[in-house]
Amino acid sequence: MPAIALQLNAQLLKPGPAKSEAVGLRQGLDPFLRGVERRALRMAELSTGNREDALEIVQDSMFAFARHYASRPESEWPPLFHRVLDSRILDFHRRQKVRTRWLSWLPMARGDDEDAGGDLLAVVADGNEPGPLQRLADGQTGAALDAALRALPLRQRQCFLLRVWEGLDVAATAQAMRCSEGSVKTHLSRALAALRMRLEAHHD
Amino acid sequence: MTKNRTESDLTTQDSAAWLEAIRNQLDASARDLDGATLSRLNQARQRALGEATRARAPRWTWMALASAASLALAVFLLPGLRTGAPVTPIPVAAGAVEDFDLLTSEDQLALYSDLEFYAWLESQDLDG
Repeated sequence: MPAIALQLNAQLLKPGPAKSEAVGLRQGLDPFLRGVERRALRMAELSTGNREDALEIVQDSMFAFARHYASRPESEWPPLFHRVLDSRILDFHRRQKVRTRWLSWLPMARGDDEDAGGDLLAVVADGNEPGPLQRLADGQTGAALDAALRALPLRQRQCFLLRVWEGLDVAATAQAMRCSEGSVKTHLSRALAALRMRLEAHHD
Repeated sequence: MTKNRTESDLTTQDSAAWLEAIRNQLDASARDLDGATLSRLNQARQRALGEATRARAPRWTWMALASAASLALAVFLLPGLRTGAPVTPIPVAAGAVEDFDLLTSEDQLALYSDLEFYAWLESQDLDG
């Protein structure tokens, strides 16, 4: 009987299908996350306005995605990952809104918020930055693009980035944003119109 | 109408070139992240990968633990089966039956309640 138990134990402890499945999952998940993490960070950064919050959002998103959706087929990963990311960004804005509402009672906090909030010119790079002319032009374009994207309403910005930059189709974007395909088209149309207007100088 | 305008915005040559320039700009901003940020991203990715692996671990871990427990039972509680030797019965202690009778007999219980008396009686005999 102990011999049987030993054989059974050895069979269970050797790398079986479940363990090899986990290794395979890790091998598939690593390049996916590696490929999407930088763009995810930039998307979060455009929504939060600072890198530290963006890093926390991306970290939470990757962790939650790995926990809940890693076992799903790889073809479903992009919209699911962006669904988690979008959810975390929305949560961030909800917390910010509550925080702002409570802190608005404090005179000192109100002053801080006025300094930090809403001024789009504050995030535009200084046009007198020294350096080669081309670099200056690229920097100005990048800063103008960042400012224009940040000025968009949250849903329009997310829709634009998912459709145009991430390359998701309308259905996948709707899944990621938890809205109808018609809403995706509306958000995108408005975002394109607003960006065209704001970036007209750079577009020409 | 919205759909047509949106689709045309994405497909006309002029718009395609404009959007391509925006994509290139965004790609460049994602490509040129500093080392500290890339390190943080790498740590976050490793944590996520660990979580994905850990989430799959319990099934075979519990099976392994259960089999290890059964093995321990087999090795330590049934030693006779390991060698194939006949199982030796545990010897009953000598006088165990008598002790049991002693403990359950009503007469003996009465004796225990008078132990002090018998001790005094014995000391009287020795003195006498």
